[in-house]
Amino acid sequence: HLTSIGSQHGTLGVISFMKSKDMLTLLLRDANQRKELGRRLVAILNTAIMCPQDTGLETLSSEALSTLLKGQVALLDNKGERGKTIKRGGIFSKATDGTKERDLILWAVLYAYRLRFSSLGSIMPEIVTSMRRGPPLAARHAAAMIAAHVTDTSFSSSSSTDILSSLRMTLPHIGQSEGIILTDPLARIYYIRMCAQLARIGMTTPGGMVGGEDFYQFVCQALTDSNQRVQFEAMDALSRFEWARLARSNVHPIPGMCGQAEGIFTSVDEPLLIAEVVVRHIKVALDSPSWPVVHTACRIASSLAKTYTRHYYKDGGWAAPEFVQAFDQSTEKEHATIHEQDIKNHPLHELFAPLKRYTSPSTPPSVRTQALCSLLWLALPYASSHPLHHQGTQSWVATATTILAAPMDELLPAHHLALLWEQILQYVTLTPVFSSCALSLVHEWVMHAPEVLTSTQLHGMWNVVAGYGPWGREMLLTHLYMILDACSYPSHHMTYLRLQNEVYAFLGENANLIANEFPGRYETSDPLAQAGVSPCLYSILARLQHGASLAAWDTMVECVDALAKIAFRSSYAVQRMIAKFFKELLAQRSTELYTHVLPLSTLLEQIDNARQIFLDLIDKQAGVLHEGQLRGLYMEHERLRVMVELFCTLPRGFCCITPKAQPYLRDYWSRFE
Amino acid sequence: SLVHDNMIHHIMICNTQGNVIYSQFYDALSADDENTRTLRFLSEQKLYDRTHATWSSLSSGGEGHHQVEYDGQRYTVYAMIGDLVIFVVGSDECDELILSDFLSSFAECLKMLLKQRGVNEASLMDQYHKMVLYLDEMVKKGVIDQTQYDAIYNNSHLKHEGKA
Repeated sequence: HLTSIGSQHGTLGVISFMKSKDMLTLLLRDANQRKELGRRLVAILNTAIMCPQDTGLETLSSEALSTLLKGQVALLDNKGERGKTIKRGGIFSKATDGTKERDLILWAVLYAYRLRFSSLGSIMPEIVTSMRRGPPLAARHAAAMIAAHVTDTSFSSSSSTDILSSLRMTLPHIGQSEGIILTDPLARIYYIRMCAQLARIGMTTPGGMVGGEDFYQFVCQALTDSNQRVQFEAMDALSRFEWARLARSNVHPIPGMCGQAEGIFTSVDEPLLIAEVVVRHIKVALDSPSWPVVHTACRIASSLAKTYTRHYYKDGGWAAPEFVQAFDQSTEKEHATIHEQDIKNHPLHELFAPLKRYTSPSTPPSVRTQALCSLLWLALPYASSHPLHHQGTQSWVATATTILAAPMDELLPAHHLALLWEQILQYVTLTPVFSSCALSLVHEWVMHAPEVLTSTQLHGMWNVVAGYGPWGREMLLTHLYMILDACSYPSHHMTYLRLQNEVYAFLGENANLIANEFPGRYETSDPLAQAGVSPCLYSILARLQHGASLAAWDTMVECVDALAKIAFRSSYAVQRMIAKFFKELLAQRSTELYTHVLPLSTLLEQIDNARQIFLDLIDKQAGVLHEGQLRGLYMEHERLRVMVELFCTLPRGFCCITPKAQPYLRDYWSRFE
Repeated sequence: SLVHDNMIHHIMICNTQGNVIYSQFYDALSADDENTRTLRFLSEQKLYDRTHATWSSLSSGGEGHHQVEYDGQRYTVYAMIGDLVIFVVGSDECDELILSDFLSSFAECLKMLLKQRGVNEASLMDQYHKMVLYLDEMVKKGVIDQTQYDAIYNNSHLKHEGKA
């Protein structure tokens, strides 16, 4: 056996393996047999910390710890030697019943198990018992292990019905006298997490009864806990449920529930609405002198407001994909009118004023950011004529603008602005209603703090708005032109150059979508299409051509690339326009862009030549091509496609030569490939 | 193990000049190789850069005044005890409030440990080994355990059954 180990690990490996095994054996012997309790506990903890990650040794230590745990839990259940007194040495010592020793060993074993092992295996019943009856710290570790176990992706309610039933009996309002009593706040936090997860996944007992509602009710009850951190944990857990479910949930007074705060309920029988309790707790927390408490309150307010906002837009139909495409200015006005009725019913509107206090420059940056994020989700868009306009999104935009325009020493740090940005993007992704406000805020951002904006952030926002139909695209184009027209401040010169390049790059990738330009547009019999290039696309091309002629070197390159991308994806008329412009650039004999423009111009000419050859062939042969000609067409198309895809990506099935060649290419592909 | 991202990631103590006296990582940065050492240094530098502008408010805010910093993933709570700045970084259930309570417990331990000469850099260096032992009782592998001074003191002396 040792020889085979040696051949696998080498001599040194054998020695270290043996040393590890010896060490573990020593630790386990100490853990089981050592008389001094302190050294015994340290030995138990060290089995988790010091032993190397070896499968064989892990199994050995796991089994040893499991055996110890089962022994201690048996003592908890009065099945062991609990009644037996242990006499200590010395004439002045008292005889003890071993309770303290049992509790300490239980704590050490659970702590060691939690630090070391990911699978609870067969000891789950013992861990549940430890959570119910163990000392506070042991219960905490047991609750943490159970919470981690049920949130694991491999956990399923259908395969763990016994465990779920026993966990259900730990609920105070179900198990009554058998209900759990957790004095440690962290233990209660882990227990709430476990209940929230079980409420989400639901559970079905063999009789078919769904018991997830019981766990959900406990999470609601935890809102009345005496510990502030536990209250916030309950609120955070509830914010992950649907608002419709929260709105119809109540918090009931449960006599004798451990940790329940005094004076929460005015009447023994009267339940409280979730929103009432939440607003009360957050308002109290926002008056706290402790910044960590205020920060947590802002964060939780943001989370709950986000849940409500999602519910509002989803249920009102303002976020459906069909709706998004059809959104326009008339719909925006309609939304503002309908919304006038809803504002007084916003369940969290009382938090707006307390949160606004923390947007002043004297507030620590992190707290300010969290306050702004929560105000964003609390403020629903209103028209400027609305009587509550001063509390609406315009007010929020004004507040955010003041912050962005602040002097450098009061400006929020870049990573906080990035957090704020992320929230704005989430809001814009949720509904198009916020788009105009978000873009106006981006413009303020560009004017006052452009260096914190990255291309990923900008393109992310612009892509979302571009997906909101013709209304969104028109608004987006106006916004992009405003950025291009922004004055070049000496202090931000390089940053503005970078931003302009971002706009040009975005236009290159998305001009076809914004202007609704596609290859077959001017090759149909549609008289409107044949009127000429659309004004929208024309304005984009004019901007890009201006940038390609009279700008810094990298901007010129960016504009030329953008024009090429548009040309490759557009109709014949647009291709010819851009090809002509490239020829004019080459004719200027400027060495700056010559080597960059020449390959693009050549490729456009080759595409045009291939198109002419194909159309002439079709005319001569009345639309019929024989096999050799089809093959030639296919090979030429593939060659051009490979060349074009060096510069831009093309949609699947895209035909580079002309849309009329598509049926022939499909025919060749189906017959010969 | 069952300890993943939801835990304490980093504890750091430095003086008011920004020199690190103690720094312990409990996450992936706890490994001991060249790359990780560089990443640890960068992490400490980032922590300093993001917080040192508010250090003056820590001393003026009085004892027990904690500041908080959040970067979207991790919470940092820090406070000034004597002439030392103590940082605790955590995530998930180790959020601002838990970290603030942990910091308060650790501050109490330091005050009891250094009560003869007060909490300052010199006295901490004298009792450095005990401070490390106390921290070891409070948190292992990023998991918070004991937070009561009496239990921490007794456990560090292997007197787990000792009275308060």
